[in-house]
Amino acid sequence: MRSAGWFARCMTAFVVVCMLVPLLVVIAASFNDSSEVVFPPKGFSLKWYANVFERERFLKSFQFSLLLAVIATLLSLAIGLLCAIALVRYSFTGRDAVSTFLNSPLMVPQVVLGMALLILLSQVGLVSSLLGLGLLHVILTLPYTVRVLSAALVRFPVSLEEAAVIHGANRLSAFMLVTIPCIKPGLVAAAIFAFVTSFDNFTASQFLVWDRTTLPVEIFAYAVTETDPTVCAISTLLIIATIVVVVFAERSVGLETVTE
Amino acid sequence: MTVPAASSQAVRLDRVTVHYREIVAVQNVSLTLAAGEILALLGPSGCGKTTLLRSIAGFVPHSGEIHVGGKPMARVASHRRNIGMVFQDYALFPHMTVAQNVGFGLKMRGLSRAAIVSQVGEMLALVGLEGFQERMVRQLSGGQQQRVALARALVIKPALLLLDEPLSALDKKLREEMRGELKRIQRLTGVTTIFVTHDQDEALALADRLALMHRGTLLQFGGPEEVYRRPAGHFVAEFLGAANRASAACREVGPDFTLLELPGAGLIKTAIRPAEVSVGQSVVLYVRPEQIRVTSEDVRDQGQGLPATLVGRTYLGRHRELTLRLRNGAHWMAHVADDDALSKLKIGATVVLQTDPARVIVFGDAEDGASQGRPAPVSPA
Repeated sequence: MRSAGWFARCMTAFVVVCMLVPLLVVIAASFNDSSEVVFPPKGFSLKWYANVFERERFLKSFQFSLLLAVIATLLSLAIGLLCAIALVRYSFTGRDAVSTFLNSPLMVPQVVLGMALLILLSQVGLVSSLLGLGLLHVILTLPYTVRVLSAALVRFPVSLEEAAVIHGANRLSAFMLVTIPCIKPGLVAAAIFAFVTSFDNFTASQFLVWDRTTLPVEIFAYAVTETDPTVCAISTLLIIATIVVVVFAERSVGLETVTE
Repeated sequence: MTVPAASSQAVRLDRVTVHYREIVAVQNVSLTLAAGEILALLGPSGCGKTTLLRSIAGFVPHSGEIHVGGKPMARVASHRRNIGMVFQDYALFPHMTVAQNVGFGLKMRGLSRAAIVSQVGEMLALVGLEGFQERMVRQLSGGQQQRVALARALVIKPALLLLDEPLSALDKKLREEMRGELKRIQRLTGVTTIFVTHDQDEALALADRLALMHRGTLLQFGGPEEVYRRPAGHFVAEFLGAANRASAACREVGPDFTLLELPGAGLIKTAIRPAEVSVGQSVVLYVRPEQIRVTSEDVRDQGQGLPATLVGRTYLGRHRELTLRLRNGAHWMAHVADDDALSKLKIGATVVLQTDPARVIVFGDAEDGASQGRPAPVSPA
């Protein structure tokens, strides 16, 4: 590859700065000593971090978000894997339509999706339930899991599964012993996408929360009434958590092989 | 090692037909194979040979019957057929070591860890990979991967070994080496083997039986020599060993031989029996390049020999390939020994081509060209 020219370098630097600056501002502001969010920060204090851990609602919504994200990720991986197998290995009428439909949650505005589910779930009496919110998060994460797992399956030679079968494994054993280990990087990448998408979601989720809320909804609720840097502290914690997860995944399976 | 099955018919295919939607990929293929034999499924790409192999493995739904080791396979799932298979891309499990790859089938059969370790060790020794147990597959060369794939297929003591284009991924030198290895290991284990190839040299060198396929049908099934010497049709004659082809008319029918006239080129003597051809009948004949003797003497008065002009000469190491122009303008190829005095012949020299009458392949002219059908072969005496 040709090395980048000065213009390309400048543009890259500009974009990176634009992406990083808001994060750096939030991180810096979280250490404010004043009770206002100001940048550059006045003084240095960890009291907003202490505030995060003192507020039970943050902790509870964090636990709830975690539970929700784990459930949504597992379901999304299972359903997404089956969808991906159907899309990659078989040709059937309406295959393209199914593929587009599975991607549609990316295109439908989340406000619409949240409203629609609220109306639907209230009809069947499932509003204000983990089930309803879980359903929403599976829908939201499915485009990512289907896409990443499809890419992984396309690269997986079916002959490997056939080799397992002809030498004595039944279909399920062949799948579990050969296919799953071979597409592991794809599974990990899909899981990360699904987890982050679920854990992060605010727009659609706010329609379906009740007295138990998810962390993003809780942060928003806090920011509506309070103006102190607590939200900056909690954001900083989330940034650190994300970095830890991504680095761990990178170390264990090598993400560049699946996201290229 | 595996003792060849007692049954003399290790494999029997009976009218096997495979449809892919509207396309007939394999049509009415019937053949039998004795225990310990090697069968080559030979044909151009798309002839259905791989599909036939895959239907024996149970990967492709088909009609007709497949028997392996005397047992019908219709209701037997792939993983219970006790078949070993080497895939074109080897299909080694990348997340497993060599030992885990080879031992996979034994593990699926519920053998003890100790038994697996010892049998894997034996099999790796047989394929010449002693001590490779803990290597990862990606650390191996193409030839080594091939050996691992072969070991994995053989360690389960299969009733049948299937090989899908086993040597196509290797370079020429390695291919010839592995060809010998394959034959050695097959003879040692005595396993009945079916392999798919589009390479006629490979098929002739390895096979005890040869099945030549074209457009889904089995054109000819027999020993390599039989198929090579007495092809069952135009397609087989042309596919198996480049052959010089000419239209001719029957001029004279004698008790021992028949004289055919190539219009504008001369007479050629063949060993067809008088009953099979009549004077005046038009035929198509094939002469293989290595069956042509090229001389500078004039032997036409003996009623045989085609005059020709030497127009090209290519040195191929083992032999020289001569391009010769007949009197009627047709170009024929002849392979002659390298040390032949003919190598001194100048381009443009006039020569005479002679052939062994018994080795001229003659068909009635009913069907023309490289057709898939079986024109009634007029077999030489």
